[in-house]
Amino acid sequence: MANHVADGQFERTRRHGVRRTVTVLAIVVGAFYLLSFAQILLMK
Amino acid sequence: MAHEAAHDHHDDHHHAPQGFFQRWVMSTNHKDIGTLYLIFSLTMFFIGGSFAMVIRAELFKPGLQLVQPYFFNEMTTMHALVMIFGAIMPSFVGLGNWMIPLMIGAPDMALPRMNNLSFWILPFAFALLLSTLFLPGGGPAGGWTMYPPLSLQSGSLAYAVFAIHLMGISSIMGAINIIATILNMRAPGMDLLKMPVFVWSWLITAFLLIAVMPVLAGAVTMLLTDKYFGTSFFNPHGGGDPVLYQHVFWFFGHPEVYIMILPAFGIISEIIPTFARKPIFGYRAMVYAIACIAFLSFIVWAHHMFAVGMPVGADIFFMYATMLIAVPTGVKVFNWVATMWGGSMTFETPMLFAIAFVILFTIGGFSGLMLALVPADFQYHDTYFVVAHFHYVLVTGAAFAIMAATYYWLPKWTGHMYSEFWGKVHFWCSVVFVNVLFFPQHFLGLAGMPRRIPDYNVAFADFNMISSIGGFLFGASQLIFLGVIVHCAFFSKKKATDRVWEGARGLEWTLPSPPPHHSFTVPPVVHDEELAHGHVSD
Repeated sequence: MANHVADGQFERTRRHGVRRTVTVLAIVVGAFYLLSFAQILLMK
Repeated sequence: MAHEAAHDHHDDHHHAPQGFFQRWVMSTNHKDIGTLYLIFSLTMFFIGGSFAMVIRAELFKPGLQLVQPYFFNEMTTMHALVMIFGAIMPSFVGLGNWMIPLMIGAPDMALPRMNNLSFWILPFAFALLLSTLFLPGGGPAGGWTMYPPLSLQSGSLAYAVFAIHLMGISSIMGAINIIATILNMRAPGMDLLKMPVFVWSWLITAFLLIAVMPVLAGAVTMLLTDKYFGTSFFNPHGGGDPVLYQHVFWFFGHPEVYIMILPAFGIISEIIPTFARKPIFGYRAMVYAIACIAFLSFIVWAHHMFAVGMPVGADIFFMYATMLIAVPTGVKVFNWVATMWGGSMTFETPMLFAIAFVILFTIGGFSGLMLALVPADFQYHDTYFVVAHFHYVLVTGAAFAIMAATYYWLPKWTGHMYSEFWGKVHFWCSVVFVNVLFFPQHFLGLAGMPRRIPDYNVAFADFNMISSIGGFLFGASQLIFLGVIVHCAFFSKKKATDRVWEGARGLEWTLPSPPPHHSFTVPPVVHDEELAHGHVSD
């Protein structure tokens, strides 16, 4: 797995990138979920 | 995940874990989880297919002969839910799991344990959904779209909604994993515009999933609160509006259609260059066309609702926006044909399915253009013409692409060649009978036969009988597919080479067949001539 990659710096960059990507996407998912309700309230 | 991984023992580099439970239930390996997804989706394909057989058997003749109308409605609803969420979507996730890390030179998916969780949610979700068929009140029967107020009458709405929530969570986690993998785990030198088209198609599809699955979750949550908690999102008695549900649902529903076809585009873009022995024509145009289709999918949702009576301006906007999708789709079809043009083509089973895809999906695309026309849609809406249209897109489109991918990559996965003879028998039976099944439904729809009915006017009898015969034979043909896969996985004596296909290019073909349990533990060096689309100029 990831820890077998020889280059430590390359691996650290990957790890930080994955964390950042997951954080941003999780926020987007939550926002879209809530917006689906908000859309209803705005249109009524 | 990586902190824990750093403390792992180093004694299992190249071997799968021993023991069934450890290997399959606790798996964090992208290949094993990909296999689980593919087995699950094949199982669901046959369960959903058996529901379709009930539908076609009932429609074999006019009149009610086999099942009660409510059960018929349960079958149409469950057939759609099982095929969409159980067969097509998980099979693409399975293909992505297997192939994306191999194609970009990554050691695994970015989040292996979440990968395990996103798969193992699915069997429970579908057990829940299918169990509703055995409940006293019956399963959901208001169509897969679950329009209120009809869907609110179902006693099993809560089960269906919870099952959909679970499927949505699974899809969202899968999408996050795929995006995180593609953006962060590529081998050095594998720039974004050097990635195989299949990887691009999945990256864009994953963004679609991220954007629309939460909206579906929101829509069905509102259904649930309307039924059980006294809210009135869609209930006119409390100031709600049922049409708003349709807007929210189709904001999810139309991109969902593209979620089911964009990875298919990616698969076809891998297969045609291999068997035409040419790099794909217009690599960048192919990538931009997928992105363009994905963008347009967000602004066309109301073409599913022309008949509800929207303002004329809205009708016109959604009609033109929908017709605009034909442009990037046309670019893709042109580029596939141009890739084949002048190539040294051979016609192994994956290529046969890929060519059938290009032709038959285009028929589905053209009938979609017809449905995009507002005045025409008033005639076609809720008829069998719509059923014929989306089955050309989803069966001869998505399902044929999945079959093509299975034949294409099966030797790589198993290390053995499948039976080319039986593969071709499966292809020819499928391609003939699928047209016998769905082409007459165009005529039925144009003549005015409504969809989702167990009985019909005798005027529609002949075409329905032809369609049902095609359905039974198409269904039986898929048993050949199952036989070919089982034979290849367990009984085939013919070893596959590493490259498998003479014209195959890409990192996945540099690995042995089957690949070791842990592959690319050291990032590979990427050479342009090894890429499926050849050298891409800057």
